Amino acid sequence: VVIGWNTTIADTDFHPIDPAERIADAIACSPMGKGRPRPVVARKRVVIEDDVWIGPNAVILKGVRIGAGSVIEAGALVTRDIPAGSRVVGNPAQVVGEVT
Amino acid sequence: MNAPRTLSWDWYPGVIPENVRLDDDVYVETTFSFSLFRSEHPDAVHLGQGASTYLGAMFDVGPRGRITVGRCALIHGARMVCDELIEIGDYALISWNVVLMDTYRLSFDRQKRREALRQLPQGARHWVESQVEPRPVRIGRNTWIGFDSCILPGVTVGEGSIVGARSVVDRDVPPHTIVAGNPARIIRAIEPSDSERRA
Repeated sequence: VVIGWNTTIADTDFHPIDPAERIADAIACSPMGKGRPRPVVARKRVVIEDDVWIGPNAVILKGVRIGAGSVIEAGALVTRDIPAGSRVVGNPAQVVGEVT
Repeated sequence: MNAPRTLSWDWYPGVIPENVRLDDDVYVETTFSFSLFRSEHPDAVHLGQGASTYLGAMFDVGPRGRITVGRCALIHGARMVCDELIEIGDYALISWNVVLMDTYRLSFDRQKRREALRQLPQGARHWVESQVEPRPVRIGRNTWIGFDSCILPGVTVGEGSIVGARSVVDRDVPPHTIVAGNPARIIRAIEPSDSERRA
């Protein structure tokens, strides 16, 4: 696997989607929230299979599996699973071809 | 307001400007965040109770600019380019490398841009004079702006909405909506049932 610089790989949402829970999280994260527990935040594993090549500045979001040998081009933002051997471009990332 | 305008934990030898108002329980990680600040507005920046700004936050505020930050809002690292008004609501979560701008500062007319470059004094750090009218940016209460996103001049993000990572938002976002992409598009509305969908 090769991963370029400034790439972000996240297996978490960081904060809750639900607005009311997000308020609770904002308070817990604030200087006023000392010791207050944070709400549960969605996480899902990220799998990057063998021989994948991720370009610089790409983003791989939670729950994504990138199939073996795929190429994620620079700056792509990957939100969904990528089949093996794909060439992937854009925000949101799309499969534009196969790696030959 | 007579509190010392330096931060005991600061690595940067700066001060919090006099026209920056901090409520109780505000955390400012470093005064480096004010190294581009040059507003002469009497109430140029107001951080509400429990608000916090971390390392990457930059208050790039022009002479007439004003920024208000709501209660418990968390600015993890946003560059705020402001010549008029940027409002950030209560409980807003602003992620790293976000850009909030109420002005492009330079004109779309290339001759005018040349003039600005010519007028820039040697070694100056800022454009002398903004060439365009700013358009206020409003980030609603309980919003969440994902990392690396850019909010362009004139945009209002409605209450409770989410801007996905790396989005470029060029138009208003309705309340309780998820947008993402470049340019940002509506992905879906946030339903109350999202409470049950977590984890």
